[in-house]
Amino acid sequence: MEMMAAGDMAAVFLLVAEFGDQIAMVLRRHLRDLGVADPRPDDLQGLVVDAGLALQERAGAWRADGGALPWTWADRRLRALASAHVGVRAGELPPDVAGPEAGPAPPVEADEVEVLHALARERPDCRLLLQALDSVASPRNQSILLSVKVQAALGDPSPSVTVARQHGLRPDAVRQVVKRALDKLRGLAAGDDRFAPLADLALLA
Amino acid sequence: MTAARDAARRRHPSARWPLDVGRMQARIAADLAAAGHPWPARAAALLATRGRLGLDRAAFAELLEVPENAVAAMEEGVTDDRNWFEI
Repeated sequence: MEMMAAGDMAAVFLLVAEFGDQIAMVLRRHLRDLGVADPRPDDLQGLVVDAGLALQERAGAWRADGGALPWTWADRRLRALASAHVGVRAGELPPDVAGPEAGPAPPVEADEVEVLHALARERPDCRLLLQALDSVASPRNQSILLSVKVQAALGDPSPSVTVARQHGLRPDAVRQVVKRALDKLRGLAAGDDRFAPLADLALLA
Repeated sequence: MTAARDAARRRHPSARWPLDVGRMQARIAADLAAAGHPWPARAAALLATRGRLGLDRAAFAELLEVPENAVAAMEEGVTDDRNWFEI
């Protein structure tokens, strides 16, 4: 993004080569919200190219210390691209043809921290874990820790690599965040009776 | 659980989305042509190569053993007395 922010047009190739899948994921979500559950690969390629160029145009205003990844920061613009694409593709229905009945909502990949917050409202053990996490890790590091653990539990052989890409970090930085957070959680469980039950959690193993 | 596993696989770098370099390059060439660039296709090819290598102009020029301003001139379409393509 530094290259892009400096107005270097070459950077858009690197951006899309490295993060095209992340951008495609965001575009897929917007398309799904707009009723296009399974876009054609060719259409998606074109949209990712459009998105890369749109990010290039706005790169000068993006700030690395703002905390948001470029495609999250430009989410509205990406949604507009998806919307324009759907609008171009959409044909007008004849007035006497009823539209399809609304189906079930498509699955959404939930943020792990949000899931934990939801669970904490119902379950005391989750509430305790959330309190412990709040006291030892920033919201970003909580998200990194939980994402790594979820990826690992789902069979990802290199969860730190996966999560590093999601957060725009290096894998070793992610491993360091996870190690520090777990060390602090274990310290809390060992040193504070209130948090002692956390020692039995698989998360801390 | 299957959906969750699929989602985990999609997030993994091994399932990375393939860049269609040709499409991106053609799009940039078209933009450059519209802006009056004298050799848009060549400039777009150069940008694509440099971009995929992740090099700035100085590093790219060093790699090619040409002056940095030659790279800049080819990308930006600067015309002067020299013919950069015959250097």
